[in-house]
Amino acid sequence: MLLAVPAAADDRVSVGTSLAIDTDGLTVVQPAVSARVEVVEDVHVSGRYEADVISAATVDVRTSASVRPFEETRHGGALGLELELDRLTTLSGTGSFSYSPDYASGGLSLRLRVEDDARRHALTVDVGGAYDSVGRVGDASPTGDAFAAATALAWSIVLSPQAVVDFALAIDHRRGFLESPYRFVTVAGSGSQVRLPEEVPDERWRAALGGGLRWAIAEPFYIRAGYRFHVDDWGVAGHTVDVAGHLAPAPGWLLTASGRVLSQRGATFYSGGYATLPEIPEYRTRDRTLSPHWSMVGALDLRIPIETVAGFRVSANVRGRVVWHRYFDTPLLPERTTWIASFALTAER
Amino acid sequence: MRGLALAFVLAAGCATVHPWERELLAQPAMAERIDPDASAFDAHTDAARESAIDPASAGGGGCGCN
Repeated sequence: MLLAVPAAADDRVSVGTSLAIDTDGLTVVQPAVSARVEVVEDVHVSGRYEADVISAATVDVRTSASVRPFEETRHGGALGLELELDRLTTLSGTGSFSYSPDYASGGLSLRLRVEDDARRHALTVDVGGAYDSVGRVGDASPTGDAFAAATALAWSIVLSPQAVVDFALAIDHRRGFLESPYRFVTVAGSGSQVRLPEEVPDERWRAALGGGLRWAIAEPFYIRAGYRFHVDDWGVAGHTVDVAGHLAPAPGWLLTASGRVLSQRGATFYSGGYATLPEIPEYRTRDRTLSPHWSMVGALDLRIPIETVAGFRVSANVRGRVVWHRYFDTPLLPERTTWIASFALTAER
Repeated sequence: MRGLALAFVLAAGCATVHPWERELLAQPAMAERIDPDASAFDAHTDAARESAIDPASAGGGGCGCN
Protein backbone atom coordinates (compact mmCIF):
# COMPACT_ATOMS: atom_id res chain seq x y z
CA MET A 1 0.00 0.00 0.00
CA LEU A 2 1.72 3.15 -1.15
CA LEU A 3 -0.92 5.77 -0.45
CA ALA A 4 -0.88 8.39 2.27
CA VAL A 5 -4.65 8.45 2.28
CA PRO A 6 -6.65 5.37 1.33
CA ALA A 7 -7.89 5.68 -2.24
CA ALA A 8 -11.52 5.16 -3.10
CA ALA A 9 -12.34 1.79 -4.61
CA ASP A 10 -12.11 1.84 -8.41
CA ASP A 11 -15.71 0.63 -8.77
CA ARG A 12 -18.37 0.86 -6.11
CA VAL A 13 -22.12 0.23 -6.01
CA SER A 14 -24.28 0.75 -2.97
CA VAL A 15 -27.99 0.21 -2.36
CA GLY A 16 -29.64 0.99 0.92
CA THR A 17 -32.37 2.61 2.88
CA SER A 18 -32.73 4.65 6.04
CA LEU A 19 -35.63 5.24 8.39
CA ALA A 20 -35.78 8.37 10.54
CA ILE A 21 -38.44 8.99 13.16
CA ASP A 22 -38.51 12.02 15.40
CA THR A 23 -40.51 13.50 18.22
CA ASP A 24 -41.87 16.23 15.94
CA GLY A 25 -44.11 13.60 14.39
CA LEU A 26 -41.96 13.28 11.29
CA THR A 27 -41.13 9.99 9.62
CA VAL A 28 -38.75 9.85 6.67
CA VAL A 29 -37.84 6.77 4.66
CA GLN A 30 -34.87 7.36 2.38
CA PRO A 31 -34.02 4.71 -0.19
CA ALA A 32 -30.77 5.47 -1.98
CA VAL A 33 -28.61 3.97 -4.67
CA SER A 34 -25.15 5.12 -5.72
CA ALA A 35 -22.45 3.93 -8.07
CA ARG A 36 -18.91 4.90 -9.08
CA VAL A 37 -17.48 3.17 -12.13
CA GLU A 38 -14.20 3.47 -14.05
CA VAL A 39 -15.37 3.85 -17.66
CA VAL A 40 -11.91 4.14 -19.21
CA GLU A 41 -8.47 4.31 -17.63
CA ASP A 42 -8.27 7.19 -15.13
CA VAL A 43 -11.86 8.31 -15.78
CA HIS A 44 -14.65 7.57 -13.32
CA VAL A 45 -18.35 8.31 -13.57
CA SER A 46 -20.52 8.43 -10.48
CA GLY A 47 -24.21 8.75 -9.82
CA ARG A 48 -26.52 8.85 -6.88
CA TYR A 49 -30.29 8.83 -6.49
CA GLU A 50 -32.19 9.20 -3.23
CA ALA A 51 -35.75 9.86 -2.21
CA ASP A 52 -37.12 11.25 1.05
CA VAL A 53 -40.57 9.77 1.58
CA ILE A 54 -41.93 12.07 4.23
CA SER A 55 -45.04 11.47 6.27
CA ALA A 56 -46.73 13.39 9.09
CA ALA A 57 -45.81 17.04 9.40
CA THR A 58 -43.13 19.12 11.04
CA VAL A 59 -44.28 21.65 13.60
CA ASP A 60 -43.76 24.51 11.15
CA VAL A 61 -46.01 23.08 8.49
CA ARG A 62 -48.52 21.80 10.98
CA THR A 63 -49.11 25.11 12.72
CA SER A 64 -49.36 27.23 9.60
CA ALA A 65 -51.53 24.91 7.54
CA SER A 66 -54.55 22.84 8.43
CA VAL A 67 -53.78 20.22 11.05
CA ARG A 68 -53.79 16.98 9.19
CA PRO A 69 -51.21 14.37 8.24
CA PHE A 70 -49.47 14.79 4.93
CA GLU A 71 -47.16 12.83 2.75
CA GLU A 72 -44.56 14.15 0.39
CA THR A 73 -41.67 12.73 -1.56
CA ARG A 74 -38.43 14.55 -2.32
CA HIS A 75 -36.30 13.24 -5.13
CA GLY A 76 -32.60 14.02 -5.22
CA GLY A 77 -29.51 12.92 -6.98
CA ALA A 78 -26.18 13.74 -8.50
CA LEU A 79 -24.00 12.86 -11.46
CA GLY A 80 -20.25 13.20 -11.38
CA LEU A 81 -17.19 12.87 -13.57
CA GLU A 82 -13.70 12.31 -12.16
CA LEU A 83 -10.45 12.60 -14.08
CA GLU A 84 -7.09 11.45 -12.80
CA LEU A 85 -4.85 13.99 -14.50
CA ASP A 86 -1.77 12.24 -13.16
CA ARG A 87 -1.00 9.95 -10.21
CA LEU A 88 -1.11 12.92 -7.80
CA THR A 89 -3.89 15.09 -9.24
CA THR A 90 -7.61 14.49 -9.58
CA LEU A 91 -10.20 16.83 -11.07
CA SER A 92 -13.90 16.11 -10.63
CA GLY A 93 -17.21 17.79 -11.31
CA THR A 94 -20.65 17.05 -9.90
CA GLY A 95 -24.13 18.17 -10.86
CA SER A 96 -26.85 17.72 -8.25
CA PHE A 97 -30.59 18.20 -8.08
CA SER A 98 -33.36 18.04 -5.49
CA TYR A 99 -37.09 18.22 -6.19
CA SER A 100 -40.24 18.14 -4.10
CA PRO A 101 -43.66 19.66 -4.82
CA ASP A 102 -42.68 22.87 -2.98
CA TYR A 103 -38.93 23.05 -3.53
CA ALA A 104 -36.54 22.60 -6.44
CA SER A 105 -32.77 22.94 -6.34
CA GLY A 106 -29.95 22.45 -8.80
CA GLY A 107 -26.22 22.77 -8.23
CA LEU A 108 -22.81 22.35 -9.81
CA SER A 109 -19.48 21.86 -8.08
CA LEU A 110 -15.87 21.31 -9.05
CA ARG A 111 -13.15 19.67 -6.99
CA LEU A 112 -9.39 19.62 -7.45
CA ARG A 113 -7.27 17.33 -5.29
CA VAL A 114 -3.48 17.47 -5.35
CA GLU A 115 -0.92 15.43 -3.40
CA ASP A 116 2.80 16.02 -3.13
CA ASP A 117 5.26 13.49 -4.50
CA ALA A 118 6.03 12.09 -1.05
CA ARG A 119 2.27 11.58 -0.46
CA ARG A 120 2.56 13.51 2.79
CA HIS A 121 0.27 16.41 1.95
CA ALA A 122 -3.09 16.37 0.20
CA LEU A 123 -4.88 19.57 -0.73
CA THR A 124 -8.48 19.67 -1.90
CA VAL A 125 -10.28 22.72 -3.26
CA ASP A 126 -14.03 22.77 -3.90
CA VAL A 127 -16.12 25.46 -5.56
CA GLY A 128 -19.83 25.20 -6.14
CA GLY A 129 -23.03 27.05 -6.84
CA ALA A 130 -26.73 26.29 -6.59
CA TYR A 131 -30.13 27.72 -7.47
CA ASP A 132 -33.20 27.09 -5.32
CA SER A 133 -36.85 27.69 -6.17
CA VAL A 134 -39.04 27.88 -3.06
CA GLY A 135 -42.81 27.66 -2.90
CA ARG A 136 -45.81 26.20 -1.13
CA VAL A 137 -47.65 23.04 -2.04
CA GLY A 138 -50.71 23.94 -4.06
CA ASP A 139 -49.55 27.41 -5.11
CA ALA A 140 -49.60 28.13 -8.83
CA SER A 141 -46.10 29.64 -8.85
CA PRO A 142 -43.01 29.68 -6.62
CA THR A 143 -42.82 32.15 -3.74
CA GLY A 144 -39.22 33.09 -4.40
CA ASP A 145 -35.79 31.88 -5.38
CA ALA A 146 -32.29 31.91 -3.95
CA PHE A 147 -28.73 31.57 -5.16
CA ALA A 148 -25.85 30.00 -3.31
CA ALA A 149 -22.11 29.95 -3.90
CA ALA A 150 -19.58 28.10 -1.78
CA THR A 151 -15.92 27.26 -1.64
CA ALA A 152 -13.99 24.89 0.60
CA LEU A 153 -10.36 24.13 1.22
CA ALA A 154 -9.14 20.96 2.91
CA TRP A 155 -5.57 20.02 3.81
CA SER A 156 -4.47 16.62 5.10
CA ILE A 157 -1.00 16.00 6.48
CA VAL A 158 0.53 12.63 7.25
CA LEU A 159 2.28 13.11 10.58
CA SER A 160 3.61 9.60 11.06
CA PRO A 161 2.95 6.01 9.98
CA GLN A 162 -0.02 6.10 12.36
CA ALA A 163 -1.48 9.58 12.27
CA VAL A 164 -3.03 12.04 9.86
CA VAL A 165 -4.20 15.55 10.70
CA ASP A 166 -6.86 17.37 8.70
CA PHE A 167 -7.73 21.05 8.37
CA ALA A 168 -10.73 22.44 6.51
CA LEU A 169 -12.24 25.85 5.76
CA ALA A 170 -15.53 26.53 3.99
CA ILE A 171 -17.28 29.76 3.06
CA ASP A 172 -20.87 29.87 1.85
CA HIS A 173 -22.90 32.79 0.49
CA ARG A 174 -26.64 32.77 -0.08
CA ARG A 175 -28.93 35.49 -1.33
CA GLY A 176 -32.55 35.73 -2.34
CA PHE A 177 -35.63 34.30 -0.69
CA LEU A 178 -34.19 32.67 2.41
CA GLU A 179 -37.41 32.39 4.44
CA SER A 180 -39.79 29.47 4.71
CA PRO A 181 -43.16 30.31 3.07
CA TYR A 182 -44.82 28.04 5.63
CA ARG A 183 -43.57 29.87 8.70
CA PHE A 184 -45.57 32.69 10.28
CA VAL A 185 -44.54 34.68 13.31
CA THR A 186 -46.85 36.12 15.96
CA VAL A 187 -45.96 39.67 17.00
CA ALA A 188 -47.73 40.86 20.13
CA GLY A 189 -47.87 43.98 22.21
CA SER A 190 -50.18 46.78 23.29
CA GLY A 191 -52.90 44.25 24.04
CA SER A 192 -53.08 42.84 20.54
CA GLN A 193 -51.20 40.53 18.23
CA VAL A 194 -50.73 39.95 14.53
CA ARG A 195 -49.49 36.98 12.55
CA LEU A 196 -46.95 37.87 9.89
CA PRO A 197 -44.88 35.94 7.37
CA GLU A 198 -41.37 35.09 8.48
CA GLU A 199 -38.80 37.69 7.40
CA VAL A 200 -35.03 37.21 7.40
CA PRO A 201 -32.23 39.11 5.63
CA ASP A 202 -31.92 38.56 1.88
CA GLU A 203 -28.26 37.67 2.16
CA ARG A 204 -26.22 35.39 4.37
CA TRP A 205 -22.50 34.70 4.65
CA ARG A 206 -21.46 31.56 6.54
CA ALA A 207 -18.04 30.15 7.34
CA ALA A 208 -16.72 27.07 9.08
CA LEU A 209 -13.22 26.17 10.18
CA GLY A 210 -12.41 22.66 11.31
CA GLY A 211 -9.62 20.33 12.21
CA GLY A 212 -9.27 16.69 13.03
CA LEU A 213 -6.90 13.88 13.84
CA ARG A 214 -7.02 10.31 12.60
CA TRP A 215 -4.87 7.95 14.65
CA ALA A 216 -4.13 4.25 14.29
CA ILE A 217 -3.42 3.42 17.92
CA ALA A 218 -2.45 -0.16 17.19
CA GLU A 219 -4.17 -2.58 14.88
CA PRO A 220 -7.15 -3.23 15.22
CA PHE A 221 -7.92 0.00 17.14
CA TYR A 222 -8.29 3.39 15.51
CA ILE A 223 -9.66 6.68 16.76
CA ARG A 224 -10.47 10.06 15.28
CA ALA A 225 -11.44 13.37 16.80
CA GLY A 226 -12.50 16.65 15.27
CA TYR A 227 -13.53 20.18 16.07
CA ARG A 228 -15.47 22.69 13.99
CA PHE A 229 -16.27 26.35 14.55
CA HIS A 230 -19.05 27.88 12.44
CA VAL A 231 -20.16 31.49 12.22
CA ASP A 232 -22.29 33.72 10.02
CA ASP A 233 -23.26 37.35 9.60
CA TRP A 234 -26.68 36.74 11.14
CA GLY A 235 -25.01 36.31 14.53
CA VAL A 236 -25.05 32.52 14.61
CA ALA A 237 -21.87 30.96 15.99
CA GLY A 238 -21.20 27.49 17.28
CA HIS A 239 -18.76 24.81 18.23
CA THR A 240 -18.88 21.12 17.30
CA VAL A 241 -16.73 18.36 18.76
CA ASP A 242 -16.84 14.83 17.41
CA VAL A 243 -15.03 11.65 18.36
CA ALA A 244 -15.08 8.14 16.96
CA GLY A 245 -13.51 4.81 17.82
CA HIS A 246 -13.04 2.06 15.26
CA LEU A 247 -12.42 -1.63 15.75
CA ALA A 248 -11.37 -3.77 12.77
CA PRO A 249 -11.16 -7.27 14.25
CA ALA A 250 -10.83 -9.09 10.91
CA PRO A 251 -10.46 -8.22 7.20
CA GLY A 252 -13.58 -6.48 5.94
CA TRP A 253 -15.10 -6.00 9.40
CA LEU A 254 -15.39 -2.55 10.95
CA LEU A 255 -17.24 -1.48 14.09
CA THR A 256 -17.50 2.24 14.77
CA ALA A 257 -18.84 4.05 17.80
CA SER A 258 -19.09 7.81 17.42
CA GLY A 259 -20.44 10.84 19.18
CA ARG A 260 -20.83 14.53 18.49
CA VAL A 261 -21.74 17.56 20.58
CA LEU A 262 -22.77 20.95 19.18
CA SER A 263 -23.35 24.21 21.01
CA GLN A 264 -24.67 27.20 19.08
CA ARG A 265 -25.46 30.86 19.73
CA GLY A 266 -28.58 32.05 17.95
CA ALA A 267 -29.11 34.71 15.30
CA THR A 268 -29.25 38.28 16.63
CA PHE A 269 -32.81 38.74 15.37
CA TYR A 270 -34.08 35.43 16.70
CA SER A 271 -36.59 35.55 19.53
CA GLY A 272 -38.92 33.01 21.08
CA GLY A 273 -41.59 35.69 21.29
CA TYR A 274 -41.81 39.07 19.59
CA ALA A 275 -43.67 41.64 21.74
CA THR A 276 -42.92 44.88 19.95
CA LEU A 277 -46.33 46.10 18.71
CA PRO A 278 -47.11 48.64 17.46
CA GLU A 279 -43.58 48.34 16.03
CA ILE A 280 -43.08 45.52 13.56
CA PRO A 281 -39.61 43.93 13.78
CA GLU A 282 -37.76 44.14 10.48
CA TYR A 283 -36.60 40.51 10.88
CA ARG A 284 -38.64 37.84 12.62
CA THR A 285 -38.39 34.06 12.53
CA ARG A 286 -39.49 30.84 14.22
CA ASP A 287 -36.76 28.78 12.57
CA ARG A 288 -35.33 26.71 15.40
CA THR A 289 -32.04 26.20 13.55
CA LEU A 290 -31.44 29.93 14.12
CA SER A 291 -32.06 29.65 17.86
CA PRO A 292 -29.43 29.08 20.54
CA HIS A 293 -29.29 25.34 20.89
CA TRP A 294 -27.38 22.23 21.82
CA SER A 295 -27.32 18.90 20.09
CA MET A 296 -25.80 15.53 20.84
CA VAL A 297 -25.41 12.61 18.49
CA GLY A 298 -24.52 9.01 19.23
CA ALA A 299 -24.06 6.39 16.53
CA LEU A 300 -23.02 2.79 16.01
CA ASP A 301 -21.93 1.49 12.61
CA LEU A 302 -21.11 -2.08 11.67
CA ARG A 303 -19.66 -3.22 8.37
CA ILE A 304 -19.90 -6.97 7.76
CA PRO A 305 -18.13 -8.67 4.83
CA ILE A 306 -20.40 -11.10 3.01
CA GLU A 307 -18.50 -12.56 0.12
CA THR A 308 -16.56 -11.75 -3.02
CA VAL A 309 -18.53 -11.99 -6.25
CA ALA A 310 -16.89 -11.48 -9.66
CA GLY A 311 -14.08 -9.54 -8.02
CA PHE A 312 -16.45 -7.34 -6.04
CA ARG A 313 -16.20 -7.41 -2.25
CA VAL A 314 -19.76 -7.38 -0.99
CA SER A 315 -20.47 -6.07 2.48
CA ALA A 316 -23.47 -5.10 4.55
CA ASN A 317 -23.53 -1.86 6.48
CA VAL A 318 -25.84 -1.41 9.46
CA ARG A 319 -26.12 1.93 11.28
CA GLY A 320 -28.03 3.25 14.24
CA ARG A 321 -27.97 6.94 15.12
CA VAL A 322 -29.72 9.05 17.76
CA VAL A 323 -29.78 12.84 17.42
CA TRP A 324 -31.02 15.00 20.28
CA HIS A 325 -31.58 18.74 19.92
CA ARG A 326 -32.40 21.17 22.72
CA TYR A 327 -33.53 24.52 21.36
CA PHE A 328 -33.51 27.42 23.81
CA ASP A 329 -35.87 30.38 23.72
CA THR A 330 -38.27 28.18 21.77
CA PRO A 331 -41.65 27.88 23.48
CA LEU A 332 -43.03 25.40 20.95
CA LEU A 333 -41.36 21.96 20.93
CA PRO A 334 -38.00 22.94 22.46
CA GLU A 335 -36.62 19.43 22.19
CA ARG A 336 -36.34 17.16 19.20
CA THR A 337 -35.04 13.60 19.22
CA THR A 338 -34.49 11.67 16.02
CA TRP A 339 -33.82 7.96 15.74
CA ILE A 340 -32.26 6.80 12.50
CA ALA A 341 -31.66 3.24 11.34
CA SER A 342 -29.89 2.47 8.08
CA PHE A 343 -29.02 -0.60 6.09
CA ALA A 344 -27.00 -0.82 2.90
CA LEU A 345 -25.35 -3.39 0.68
CA THR A 346 -22.09 -2.30 -0.92
CA ALA A 347 -20.04 -3.97 -3.61
CA GLU A 348 -16.61 -2.57 -4.43
CA ARG A 349 -13.36 -3.52 -6.05
CA MET B 1 -3.28 33.09 13.93
CA ARG B 2 -2.11 30.55 16.50
CA GLY B 3 -3.90 27.84 14.54
CA LEU B 4 -2.10 28.79 11.34
CA ALA B 5 1.25 28.79 13.13
CA LEU B 6 0.47 25.37 14.57
CA ALA B 7 -0.40 24.15 11.08
CA PHE B 8 2.94 25.29 9.66
CA VAL B 9 4.85 23.74 12.56
CA LEU B 10 3.03 20.47 11.99
CA ALA B 11 3.76 20.59 8.29
CA ALA B 12 7.43 21.36 8.73
CA GLY B 13 8.05 18.89 11.52
CA CYS B 14 6.51 15.81 9.90
CA ALA B 15 8.93 12.96 9.48
CA THR B 16 9.12 11.25 6.12
CA VAL B 17 6.85 8.21 5.98
CA HIS B 18 8.21 5.60 3.62
CA PRO B 19 5.89 3.52 1.41
CA TRP B 20 6.61 0.39 3.40
CA GLU B 21 5.47 2.19 6.57
CA ARG B 22 1.99 3.09 5.30
CA GLU B 23 0.12 -0.15 5.98
CA LEU B 24 -1.92 1.31 8.86
CA LEU B 25 -2.64 4.51 6.94
CA ALA B 26 -4.15 2.45 4.13
CA GLN B 27 -6.67 0.71 6.34
CA PRO B 28 -10.39 1.53 5.79
CA ALA B 29 -10.67 2.96 9.31
CA MET B 30 -8.12 5.65 8.38
CA ALA B 31 -9.99 6.89 5.29
CA GLU B 32 -11.04 10.55 5.16
CA ARG B 33 -14.66 9.40 4.81
CA ILE B 34 -15.10 5.76 5.68
CA ASP B 35 -18.57 5.58 4.12
CA PRO B 36 -19.25 8.43 1.67
CA ASP B 37 -22.94 7.54 1.37
CA ALA B 38 -23.41 7.60 5.14
CA SER B 39 -21.49 10.88 5.40
CA ALA B 40 -23.72 12.43 2.75
CA PHE B 41 -26.84 11.22 4.55
CA ASP B 42 -25.64 12.59 7.90
CA ALA B 43 -24.88 15.95 6.31
CA HIS B 44 -28.35 15.98 4.75
CA THR B 45 -30.18 15.23 7.99
CA ASP B 46 -28.01 17.59 10.05
CA ALA B 47 -28.49 20.47 7.59
CA ALA B 48 -32.25 20.29 8.14
CA ARG B 49 -31.78 20.75 11.88
CA GLU B 50 -28.73 22.99 12.25
CA SER B 51 -27.28 26.21 10.85
CA ALA B 52 -23.71 24.95 10.44
CA ILE B 53 -22.05 24.10 7.16
CA ASP B 54 -19.64 21.27 6.51
CA PRO B 55 -16.14 22.81 6.37
CA ALA B 56 -14.88 20.05 4.11
CA SER B 57 -17.23 20.55 1.18
CA ALA B 58 -18.87 23.19 -0.95
CA GLY B 59 -22.39 21.84 -0.94
CA GLY B 60 -25.10 22.32 -3.46
CA GLY B 61 -28.54 23.71 -2.83
CA GLY B 62 -30.92 22.93 -0.04
CA CYS B 63 -33.60 20.29 0.27
CA GLY B 64 -36.44 22.47 1.52
CA CYS B 65 -36.61 20.24 4.56
CA ASN B 66 -38.63 21.82 7.34
